[in-house]
This record gives sequence, C-alpha cells and structure tokens, in this order.
Amino acid sequence: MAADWQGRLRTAFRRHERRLMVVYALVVAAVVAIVGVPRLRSPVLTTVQQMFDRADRRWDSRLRHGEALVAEGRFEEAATYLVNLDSIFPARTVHAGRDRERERLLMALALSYERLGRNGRALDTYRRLTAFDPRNWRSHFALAQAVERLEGGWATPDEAAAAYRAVLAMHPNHLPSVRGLMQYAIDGGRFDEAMMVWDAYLDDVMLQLLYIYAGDAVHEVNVRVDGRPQEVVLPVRMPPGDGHVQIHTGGFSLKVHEAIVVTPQAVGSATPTDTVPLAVLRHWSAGTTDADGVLRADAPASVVTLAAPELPSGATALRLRITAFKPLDRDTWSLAERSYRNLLRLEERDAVTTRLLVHPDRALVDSLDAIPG
Amino acid sequence: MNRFFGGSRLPWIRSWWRRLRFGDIVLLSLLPLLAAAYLLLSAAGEHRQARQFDDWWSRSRTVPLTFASRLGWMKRFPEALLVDRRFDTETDDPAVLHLLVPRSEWDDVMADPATGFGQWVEGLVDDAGRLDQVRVRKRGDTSVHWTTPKVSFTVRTRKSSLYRGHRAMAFSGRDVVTTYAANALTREFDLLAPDTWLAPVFLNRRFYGLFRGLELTDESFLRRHGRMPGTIYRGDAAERGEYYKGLPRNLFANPAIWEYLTVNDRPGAAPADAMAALVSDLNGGTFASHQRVLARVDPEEVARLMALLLLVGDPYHMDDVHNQLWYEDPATAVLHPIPWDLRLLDLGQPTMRLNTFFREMLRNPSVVEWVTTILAEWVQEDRFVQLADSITADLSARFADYLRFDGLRAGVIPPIGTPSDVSRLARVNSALLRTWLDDATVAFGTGGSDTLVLDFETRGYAGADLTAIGLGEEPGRPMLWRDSNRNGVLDEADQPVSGAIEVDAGRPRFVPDAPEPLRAGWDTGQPGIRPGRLHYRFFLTGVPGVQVEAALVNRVSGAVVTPVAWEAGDPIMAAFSWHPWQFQAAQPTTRRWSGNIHLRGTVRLAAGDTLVIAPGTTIRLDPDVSIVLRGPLHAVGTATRPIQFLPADQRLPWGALALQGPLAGGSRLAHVAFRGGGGALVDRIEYIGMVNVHRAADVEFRQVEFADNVRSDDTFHALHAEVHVVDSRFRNTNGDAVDYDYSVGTIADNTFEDSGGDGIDLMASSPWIHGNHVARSFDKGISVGERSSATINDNVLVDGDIGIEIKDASEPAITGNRLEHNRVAIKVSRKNWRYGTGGWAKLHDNILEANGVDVELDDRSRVTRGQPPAGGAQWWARYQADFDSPRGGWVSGGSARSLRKRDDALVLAARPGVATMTLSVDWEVEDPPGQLVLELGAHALDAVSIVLEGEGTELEVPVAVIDDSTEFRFVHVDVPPGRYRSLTLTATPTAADRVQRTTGLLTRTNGLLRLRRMLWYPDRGEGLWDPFAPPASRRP
Repeated sequence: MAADWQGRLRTAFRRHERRLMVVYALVVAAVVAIVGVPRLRSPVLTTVQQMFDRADRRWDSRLRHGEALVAEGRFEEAATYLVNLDSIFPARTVHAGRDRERERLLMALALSYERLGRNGRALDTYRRLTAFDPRNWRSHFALAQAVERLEGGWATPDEAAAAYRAVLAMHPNHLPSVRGLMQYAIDGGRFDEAMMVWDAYLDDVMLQLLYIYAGDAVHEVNVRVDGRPQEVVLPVRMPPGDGHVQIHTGGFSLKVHEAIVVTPQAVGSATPTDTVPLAVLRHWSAGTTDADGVLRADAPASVVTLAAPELPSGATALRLRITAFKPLDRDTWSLAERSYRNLLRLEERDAVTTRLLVHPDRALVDSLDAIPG
Repeated sequence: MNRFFGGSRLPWIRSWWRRLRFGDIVLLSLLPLLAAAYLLLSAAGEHRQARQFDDWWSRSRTVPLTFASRLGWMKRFPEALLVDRRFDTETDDPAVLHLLVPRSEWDDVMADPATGFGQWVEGLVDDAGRLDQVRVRKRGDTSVHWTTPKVSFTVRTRKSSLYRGHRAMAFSGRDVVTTYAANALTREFDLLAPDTWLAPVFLNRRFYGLFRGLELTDESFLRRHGRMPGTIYRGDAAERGEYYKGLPRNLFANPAIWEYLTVNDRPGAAPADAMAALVSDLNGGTFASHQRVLARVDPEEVARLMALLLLVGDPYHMDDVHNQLWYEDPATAVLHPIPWDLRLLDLGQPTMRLNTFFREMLRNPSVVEWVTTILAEWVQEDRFVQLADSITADLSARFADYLRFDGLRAGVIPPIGTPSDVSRLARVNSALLRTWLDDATVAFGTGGSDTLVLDFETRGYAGADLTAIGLGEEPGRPMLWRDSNRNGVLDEADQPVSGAIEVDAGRPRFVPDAPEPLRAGWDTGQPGIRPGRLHYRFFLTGVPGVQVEAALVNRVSGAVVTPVAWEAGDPIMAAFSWHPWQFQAAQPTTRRWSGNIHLRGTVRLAAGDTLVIAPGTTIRLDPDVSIVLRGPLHAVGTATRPIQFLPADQRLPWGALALQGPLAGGSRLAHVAFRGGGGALVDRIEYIGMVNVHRAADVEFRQVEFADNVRSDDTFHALHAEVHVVDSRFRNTNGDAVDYDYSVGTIADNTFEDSGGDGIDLMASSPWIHGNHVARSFDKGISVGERSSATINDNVLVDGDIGIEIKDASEPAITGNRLEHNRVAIKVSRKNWRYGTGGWAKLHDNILEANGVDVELDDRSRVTRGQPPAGGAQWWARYQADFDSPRGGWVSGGSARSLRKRDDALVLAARPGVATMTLSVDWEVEDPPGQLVLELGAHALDAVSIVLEGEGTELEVPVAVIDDSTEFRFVHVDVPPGRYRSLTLTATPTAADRVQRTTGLLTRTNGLLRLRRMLWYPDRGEGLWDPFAPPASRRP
C-alpha cells in the first residue's frame, strides 16, 4: 500500500516537476526581491518586528495578572504564578528595559509570601529587591517596613535600621525613614544618635521646585526647604494692568514675608525705579492660613496668590522673601522633643521651633516626597 | 517559464531546460536562500537582544535597520577581508593594545549583553613581548556598548605594571574618531582633563576594533595633573543602574545623588558639604548667592571650558543629569570641573538647555566676555580648524587601515565617525561662532533736556565699547555719568566717566579716557544660547538739548557697530544676566600690627589687603586660632627686635599662618619666630603646616626660627608656590620640618635639628637645596619623592636614619654633599606605585663616611654616575615610552634585534655582532666647540661607542661600559667645529650563552644599550658648564 502511494507520488512529481520548478523559482525570486528591494523588504520586516514586539508585550500582561491575583487576595495562586514568572522574566539586570517591571514582580511576590505567613521567603524576596537595584530607596524602605512588621518586637530590628540608613543615604529628607531611625535609636536609649538623625534631617539641603506664574510666563524656581527666610529675585515681564502672581508650592508649607514687584524704567526717561508691594490675596485649593500668614499646605496642589492693586506700567522683576518648611508630623516632632529633653538641650529645642511647622496629618506629610525622579 | 525556456529558439537553452531537474534548482537557490535566512534570523536576533534594553541605541535597532546593516556588511565583507589581511598582528606600534584573554571566559562575560556586568576576565597585555597581567570587564552606560560585536571595556592593570602610566582605563568603541578629537582638544585649554588616545585593539591576535582609550579619574589622575589628592565628585543620573529611582535626577538640585570617586577625608570638611553648598548657592537666585558660586569655582577656568564646549558644538552633554565630574582642591577649596565625554557636534542644532551651573555662570557678563575672547582666539584665524585638520591628518595617516575596517562594519558595530566629520564640524562650528562674535548689536535711545538720559542695551552675543559721544555742533562742558546704582535717576551714588572733548571733522565729541565697556549678556533660559539684553544707562550733563550720537565698536573684533534706534518711552525690561555694575571691586587696605597682640579668633585678610607687622611685635594666638592672609605679609623684624608668633595657652596649639593665593605673593618675613602652632582647617582649606604658603610666588623667609609645633604634619608647608627659605633654623619640629609640594624656590643655608619626620620633604618639587646642615632627623634628612627634580648640593646630613632618599620617578642631581653617620646614606626606591617607577639619583662627588649603608637601591630604581649637566639646562631629548613614536627618529642597524622606547629609555637590544642605532642630524658646530652629553646605560655589552659623522669628519668616542641594569652614566663628548649629519651609537654584546639550570635549554642574552637623555651645549664658553648654577629666577 505504502509502496503504491510512493509510486503514485513519484509519478505525480515527475508529471508536475516542471510546474513545481517554476513555482519554486518564483518563490525564490520573491524572497530575493524582498531581500534586495528595500521597498518590498520594509513592510515584511516591520511585520516580523511587530510579531516580536507583540510577544514581548505579553510580559506586561502576565505581570498584571500576577498583581491582580495579589490584589484579589489569592496569595497561594499568586505566589506560584509569580515564582514561575520570576524564573523566566527577561530583565535579569537593572540595566535591562523592564527593570521596573521586575521590581513590581518581586514586590508582589514578597507581599504574597508575607500574606501567606512565609516570612523568611518574604524577607528574602525584599532583600532580592534591594540587591536588584540598590539605588531604589523605595525598595530599601519596603524592606525596612517589612522587617519591622515581620520581625519587630518591642524595638526596631537592626536590619530595619540599616535599611532606613540606606534610604537616608540617598534620600536624606525621607521623613518616614527619619522617624523610623529616630525610633530605633530611642528604643535603645541612644538619644544622641536620634538627635544626629534629626539634625541631619533639619540641615540637609532640600530644594523644592516652585512654579511661579507672573505675567504670561511660568517661572521654575528651586527654593531651599529649611525653615529659614530666603530671597528670591526673578526677572519677569508683567504687562500693564492686573498684577497677580501665583505660587504653586508643590504641597509644601510656605510663609511669604514680603513680595514686591519692580516697575520698568522707560527709555530716555529719568524716572526712578518704583516698587509695588503685593498682598497675599488668597490660598487656592487645599491649605489653611495661620494668623501669621503661613500657608499650611494640605495637598500637592496648594497655591498662593499674590496681587497688587494695579500695575499701570507692568513689572520687570519680582522679589520675594519666603520661608519653605520641611515636612514634619507630630509623631516625629515628639521623638525629637523627647530627645532634646533627655539630652537637656532645651534651648536648642526652643530655637529650632521657629524653623518648624508641625502638621497634624502624618499620612499627608509622609506623602510629600521630593519631586518624583 | 516552461514555455519560455522549452520553446526557446536557441537549442542550448532548450537542452539545458530539459536536463534541469528540481533538485538542481533547489541546489542553485540554496545560497541566496540561506543568506536571506541568515540575514533575517540574525537581524531578528539582534533586535531581540537589543529589545532587552530600553535606551536610544536599543530603540533604534529595529528589524528593518539591523537587516539593512547586515546586508550592507555582507556586501562589504570581501573588502573587509582584504583589509584584515593587511593587519600586522605582531606590530610593535605602541598605540596598539594587544589583549590576550581566554576566549570562553571573554564570551561568557561579553557575548551576552544582559549578564556579566561588573565581572572581570583575567587577561594579559602584550607590550612588545612583555606580558603584563590585567583584568578586563565590560563598560558603558547604554546598550550601544554591549549589544554589538565590538563591546566597550575597562582594563585594570596590576600596580606593578601600569599601561601608559595608568592603572584603570576605559576603551570605548562608539564615536571613536569624533569623540577623540573633541576630548583631545582639552589639552589646549588648560583644563583638568583625563588622558585620551586612539587604540587599535587586537584581541587574541585578531583585530577587534578601533577604540578610544580614556584614563579613569582617580588619585593617579590628580597627581598626573599636579593636584593634591582631594575629593572627585561624580554626578551621573541618566541611565538605568546609575540614577536613583524616585528622586530628582537634576544633579544641581539634589546633592544627595552625587558620588565620590576619590575622597579626601579631612576632619571637619565632609565631602558632601562642598557639593551641598554649591547646589544651594546655584539655586539661591540672588546676587549674593551668585557671588558665592563665583568664589567656589575658578570663573576663568569655567570660561575656558565653555569656550571649548562651544567649539566642539556640545555645551549640552555635560548636563543636569550626567557627565558631571568635579574636583575639590584641598589647598584652595575651589571646585574644578573635569571635562567628560565631550562630543563633536553641530553647534547650530541645540537640543536642550545648558545645565544649571553653566546657566548661572553665564549670567555673569564677565564670564561671557572671557568666553567670547577665548573663542575669538580660536575662530578668527581659523586656529580651531587648523588644529582639527592636523588631528585628522595624523590619525588618518597612522590608523588608515583600522579606520577603513571599522568603517566597513558600519551598522553592525557602533558608529566610529570619520576624520572628515571632524574637519567638517570644525568648519561648521567655527563659521557659526564667527557670526556670534560679529554680532555686537546695541540699541540706543535718548531722552530728557537739561540732563540727557542715554540708554544702551546690548542685544548681541558680543559686547561693545562706547568710544565716543558726538555732541552736535556745540561742545559745551559735558559730563558723562553712569547710573551706577541703576535706580534710573542721576544721584550722588552715580560715578562720572572721565574723558575729554575732541573735535573730529569739525564736530565735537566726548571721548572717555578708556572705552566704556557695554558687556553682552547671554540668555540661556531656553534650549541653546541666545543673545540676551543688558541695559546701560548714562546721564549727560552740561550740554542741554544737544543731539547726541554714540560711537561704538565690537569689543571682540574691534569692528564699528552702528546702534539700532530705541524709541523713547519703550519699557526697559529686566535682564537674565547680572549687571556688570553690580560687581564692585573692593579697595585694597593695609593693616598694621605692633606691640603685643592677642588673637582670640581666626583672622582672615581679604585678597589684595596687606598686613604689615612692626619689629618687636609679639602675637599670641588662642588655641586653634589661625591667620589666613590672601594678600602680602611684610613681617620684617630685626636681630634685636624679632617678631614672634606664640601660643596664648602653652598647653594647646594655635592653628596656622597661611599665605593663600597669588595676591599673597611678594611676602617677606625676616627675624621672625614661630612656635607652638598646630595646623588648621579654615574654610575647608587644609593647612598641614604651622606656616603655609599656598599658590603664592616670590615669598621669602630669611632668618626665621620655626620650633615646637605640635599636631601638624609639617612645620613649614609650601604648596604650588615659589618660596625661598634662607638662613633659618628649624628645631624640635613635630613631623617634617619643610615640606614642598609642587613647589620651587630655594632652601639654602638653613639648620635642621631633631626633626620629628624628614628635614626636607619634596613632592613633585624642584627647589635648589644647598648649604643646609641637617642633623638627627628621625626619618630622612632630605626626602625627594613623587617626580621631584631638585638640585641638592653642598649640604651636610648627619646622624639621621636615612640621609637622602630618592623615590617615585624623582631625578635629583646630588653632588658635593657630605653624609655621615646615617643608617643609610642614600636610598633609591619605589614607594608609591602610582608613579610607575622608582627613584633615579644622579650622584657625583659626594662624601659618604661612617654610614651603615652608603647606597641602597631597589630593582625599580636607577642611579646615574658622572658629572651631571648644568642645573636648569634644558634636555634636548628625553626618552620614555610615550606611545607617540616607537623610536623617536632613531634607526637600528647591524645586529640590532630591536630598538624601542621602553619605560624610561630608548633601548637597543643587540644580538652578537655590532648593533647600531643612528639618528640623522644637521649640526653646524662653530668655534668654540660644543659638547654633547648622553645619559647611557648598558647591560651585557663588551663595548659601546659614539660616532659622529659629517662632511669629511668623523668622530668616534669609546664609552667605558658599566655592566649593570640599574646604573647609568653621563658621557660627555667634546665636539669639534664642523658639519655633522648623523649620530650613531654602536653596541657590541658579550657572548653570554648559558644553559638554564632547570630546563637545560641554551639561552642567549641580548646586550642592551639604554639611552635616557641627550643634551647639547652649543657653546661651553658661556658659563653653562657650572653644573650647579641655579637659574637666576631661583636665587633668593
């Protein structure tokens, strides 16, 4: 039977060999044309690339699926799924294009382990996260928090403190880590160490980008956030008429001590330069104003509006004297106050209060990170 | 097709078609199909590999592009093969890097772009037959460096065998030619820039690619540049793995993300503080903060850097997020930028804003003017184009085949650029900058009647000079005033402009005594650099109602500038730049001290201010109180009424006396006594001596007593200074009595007793040391280290541990000294690996008596005996491995095996017979005759001679041979009058075949003739021959 089929095939092949040759030659010619003629080649190769890219995008959907499992509380299933995904995920180094996705994967996996009560594996996964990209402070902070949650007893564990220190080495103004490290020191009765952390927080250079709307332009100005008054001098072009100036604080509390605009000179006219004071007109959006004119920001969208009654000749410069305050919540301040008291540094405590604005809402203050990188 | 071929009228086609079978067609088509399949698969593979990353290079590696690249490479492959066959894999061109690595390990680390980061591969560098161990790893910040067959890498040598004098080097395969040209230009701008070179790399004897070698910045880099070890800050936050996630990436807004390549851990001067202060001031936004920024850097250096960046068309790549390297000099606390990764681009296509630092510096019109002045030097006479052309001509000639080969691989490997790109971009940028410099637009408007208001506004890239003001018909009695306080009205604070009336073609003009500068401001608020506007207001009185005209010229080119009209009443808007009239020069003052003075706080004297201390004055300083003078000090006491600096508290030291900066030059101290100081750290500047001179010239200490200092390393410290210490006394000093770092001057006729460290300690210094008496030093009497070249003569060194120690590439001339009762009289050694070699003493006519050891020498050090040439005389040729030319113009002959610059000399390796090395010369020696001095070493040679041949004359001088690989000799040859055409050295090796004990193999040792230096004295009659006459400038 088989020999019969082979025979028939052979016969058919011989009968149609010429046609097959022609078809084959045409196929080869088409391939050569596709290779040789850029116009033909390009759409084909682009299609090939799109296939690759589609295949590549499946990593995103798979990761989202894993995260969804965690969000739905299906931790056992999530852990199994994510472990498998982890073993085949393409980003093996922080230099790879999907480094953030791998970090999300590890974070989801760590969380799954933690919820499943596999604390050892959870902590190992957090440690892998910090090792994957040691320059991600959020990974270190997640490790610190996890260690506190999983291994903390009456005091902060050493590993958590080390992770807090790692955060502060790259992000010295991260208030939750400052608080965590101060707590760690105070737990051990080391008030001087707590004060060192506190002093470093107060004095480390922190800049906040303010957006100042004056005239028809937006000016970006970095100001020091240190609780000390500072001058800001800004060349502006404000046309004659309404003299409104808006300061978008990015969520930081601010005190405007003085605001003036300088009117322009005119060519050939020996009239002196004039200055016009601006009044704090209102605070927009979230924010409350103290009696002494401090904007206590309640949201990143907080805005201060300054205005002059009228600017007949416009303005050419804006001069501000302002103070921007570092984020501070009651808990952290109480840790600092306790350290001052225990070290008998009461005068310093009193002196430093002029630089502080304690906010009642810890969650809000903690959310006031630096500008996202 | 069947009908076409089968029905063809040509019988041979019909016959061919009939015989053709399907299998034949498949066979015929196999090659193109396989090629197509290979191209498709490899392109897809490369795309997939690149897709792992997410940067500019990987995003550009689309399948169509990679396919086209590989197709192009396939077409060019035969030509590439031909070029490859021309490569000499054994070439001794010192520019070539021969790297030998285990192939499998190399592939493990380099072939997979996603792995192997930070992983080292052990290998060897073949340096003309000498195999040095190195380690290699992949480098770079983006996938362009890892995903092609030409991977960028870092080489690290062992401390004992540096390569090109460096221990850590980067080899980058991207934009090799253009980037090399841009970075090579830094040499011309007196900047602190890393060494860079072009390096054809052979990997396991196959050409791997043309790379740009780059020295990595570390302490060795600082020492090579003559800088004290200090902190190098690195800011790089552009690419994955380098930036800090979740934090602001702007380096000039976030001091926490800077890193340190080297750290000078001075107590009380944390490295983070300097960058935090700079960042804080850069964002201060006030004139005061701008002035603080100016004080933290060298503005002229920044102007040089900016001019360079503009010439190469890339002022944007040293941006806010990466390529920031800064060095803080501990001697001045000044931050110096290190140019990094400059590219050669078209300046006319700005892509982004300048970084925050440059923007702040260019708000200063003086900096802008320095930049334009430097640019004028480079573009107006086409100097930049000529230099670029010379660089391209050199590299085209030397690296033609390598450039060709990598050019043929275009698309498959990272782009390397071409020499013609360099020339073209140099021309494009020069032309554009010329238009900038020609643009000195000035707007001019007037108003008023009794007091005329003259308003000028510069609106071009270049500033203008106001040279005259035309006054219509009536000269009157004009007075011109600047609106110095810029309040818009003439008042008491405004300064007059002095000048006179001149009449030109019957029309009176007010001509200022000096042209009134109207400097330009640049606007850098947007991407690129645009001309800014800077307003200058003057008032003209004494000529009411006159019609005035302004005469202006371009401050850079001197061309006449015609002002554009500025309508009266137009508003004058604020400028981006700070106004030149805001910068007020301080008036120098003189302070006088006399009687008894008690200092309770550190005294700082401003730059240019003078301190005069009267004879008999006693200054008592509280603990840690210092005196820092940035102007000259005149403290000249008398033998009977000396000036004294004493501790107020006998138990605790005061700080330091410091003469800081060039304006402190010319200071004079005589009959002064310093006791009980302890060094200090003031304003981040480290003063390691009780008395310090930093960066000041022509400073003299005469008959000064230094004693009983505590805590500080040194008693007297000179750093980057020219200081003369004469007829003074050092006793009971804590560490080194005198420490010269990067300094010159004189140390003469002093007495050193009981020094706690060295009597005299030199680092990279070349003072004249003579007539001193050094007794009982705890360590060395004189320590000559770190590339010092002092002249040391007629000193007495007794009862010390080591009389004179010569270290680390130092080459002092030591003659006529007496060394007695020391444990070691003269020690020559290597101590610091960063200098690559040991010391090299030139010894002559010294008296060594009753020492434990007379001369101690290690295997990395050398000694030259014989009468050294005159101090200060210039060597005509000094040979060392400089990688520029292998043989320095010499040609080998006879039985020579090789002739090559190696380490510290030109080395002729001679086989049995007579080997020669010949240099073509063209010397016309007239009467009186001249003298030739050569510094020669020999090993395993029977005879050496020097032959000078000329027209009808031949002079042959036999040389007494010292058969010692560590010892050299000065050879003096008197050259009679005549014309000479060639200089030949001949070497006859000893027959030194020997049987190795372990292997039983017969080995033959080549004779070696080493030529270190040559010096030519054209005329012995001019007093040049006094070997120790110090140069006139060094005489006290």
